[in-house]
Amino acid sequence: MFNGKGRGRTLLSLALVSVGLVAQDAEAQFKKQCMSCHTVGAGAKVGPDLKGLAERRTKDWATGFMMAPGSYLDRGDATATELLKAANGVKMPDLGITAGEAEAIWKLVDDATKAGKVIGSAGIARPVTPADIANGRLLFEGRKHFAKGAPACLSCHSASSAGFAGGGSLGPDLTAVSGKMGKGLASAIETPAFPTMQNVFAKAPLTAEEAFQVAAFLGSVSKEPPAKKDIMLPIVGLIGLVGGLQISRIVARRRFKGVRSQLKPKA
Amino acid sequence: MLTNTFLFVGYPYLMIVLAILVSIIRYRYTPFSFSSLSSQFLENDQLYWGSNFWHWGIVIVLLGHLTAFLMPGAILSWNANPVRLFLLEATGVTMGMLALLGLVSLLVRRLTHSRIKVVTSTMDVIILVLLLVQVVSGLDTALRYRWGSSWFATNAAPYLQSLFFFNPKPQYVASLPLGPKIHMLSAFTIIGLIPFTRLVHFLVVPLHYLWRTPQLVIWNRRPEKRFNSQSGR
Repeated sequence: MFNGKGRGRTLLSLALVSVGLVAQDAEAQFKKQCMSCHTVGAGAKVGPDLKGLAERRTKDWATGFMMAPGSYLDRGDATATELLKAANGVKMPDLGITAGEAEAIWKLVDDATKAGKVIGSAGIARPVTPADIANGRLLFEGRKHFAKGAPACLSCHSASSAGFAGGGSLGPDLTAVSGKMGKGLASAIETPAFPTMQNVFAKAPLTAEEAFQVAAFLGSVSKEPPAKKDIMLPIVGLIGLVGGLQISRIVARRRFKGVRSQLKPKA
Repeated sequence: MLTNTFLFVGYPYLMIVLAILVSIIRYRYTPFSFSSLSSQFLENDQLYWGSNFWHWGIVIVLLGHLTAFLMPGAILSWNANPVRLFLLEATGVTMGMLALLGLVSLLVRRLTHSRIKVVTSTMDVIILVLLLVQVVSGLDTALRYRWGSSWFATNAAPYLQSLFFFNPKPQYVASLPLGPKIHMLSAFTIIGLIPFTRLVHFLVVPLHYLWRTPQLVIWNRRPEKRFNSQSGR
């Protein structure tokens, strides 16, 4: 079995299997990290349709950009700047893609292009109803739970007047995001690839319907002024502090102060 | 990436190991040094306020962190209503401010009171300053990067749990802003310094006092009577 020919065949089949695995990994990674903004052959979303990438860009440029899009923009790369303009100023996040992964994704896109295979979809395309907007608001605020257990948007984001005393401020205000991302917004929040979100939402993605509803809500507020900086939290905190001090003064009246002060003759 | 791996994987493990090992060694060789080395006898008035504010504030804040670490889902469910979320956050901020007030008062006491200065070591000052960094960065995080109770549950809790399961996932916190990162790093530093400072006292909190049989202190005479008669009034 382990004569030269047999070993050669085993190695060959192992190599084929591993090539298959790499392709599978690349597709899984594409779904997790790229598909929120890109498709191959299903049209542009937040970012461009990647079909025919090899005809537009060199491999070096494309893989380099995948790994660190921020640095291309920082040094004023002409193509990157143009892409940023086309995407309404929505920057592609630095996703921590390694050189090997970038190469595999390049190959995946190239193979899909050549085979005429479509990866991803352009998302739900029905008209928005008032019920979508109302549901989207409930989901955004957390009053309604996401089916797969994703945390409420309000945890980190604000949007116009959503929430009591405003939304979170770890992430950006999303009031105007709909105008920027347009139709791509729903798919961008279905499996968000932003660094702080991707680990959390990879485990608990939104359903296409939920993403559509949240996007509908964000669309409904996109013309409103951005969320106000809410100062209720520090103010209520201070009120609580003053209240606490008052309580402690009352409690301290019964405090045992030692016997010496009482024994000393009063001057 | 490499820096993040060191700061949020290597460093916390280093500090935890240091805390456990040195605590054991210190307890074996100088068991009676496990104490807060009370200075109540030297100055009691400022200590009463400072210590009470500090301990009430910090213990409640720590219990909040512990709950979010152990039961992140419960916190998220509570926070599902924005009003409840706000109440939780406001309680946290109040307690944080109370702790800050107490801590500053204890720090001032330690640095200005002549009797206390005599028994103050370098480590006392170092740990107080670190605790100050910890509380200030915590309040800064709570106020500038809302709503911390929710995103602690989604990002910090899985990260901290991953450390305990020896399967560290620093990617959960790698992209957080500088403020919360300082808060985490100074927390790890404080954990590492526990056995080198007065902080060891919290490892030997006499919790059993809560359910032991009560000890009655018997006075010879009723104190009020005694003082009144002796002061000659």
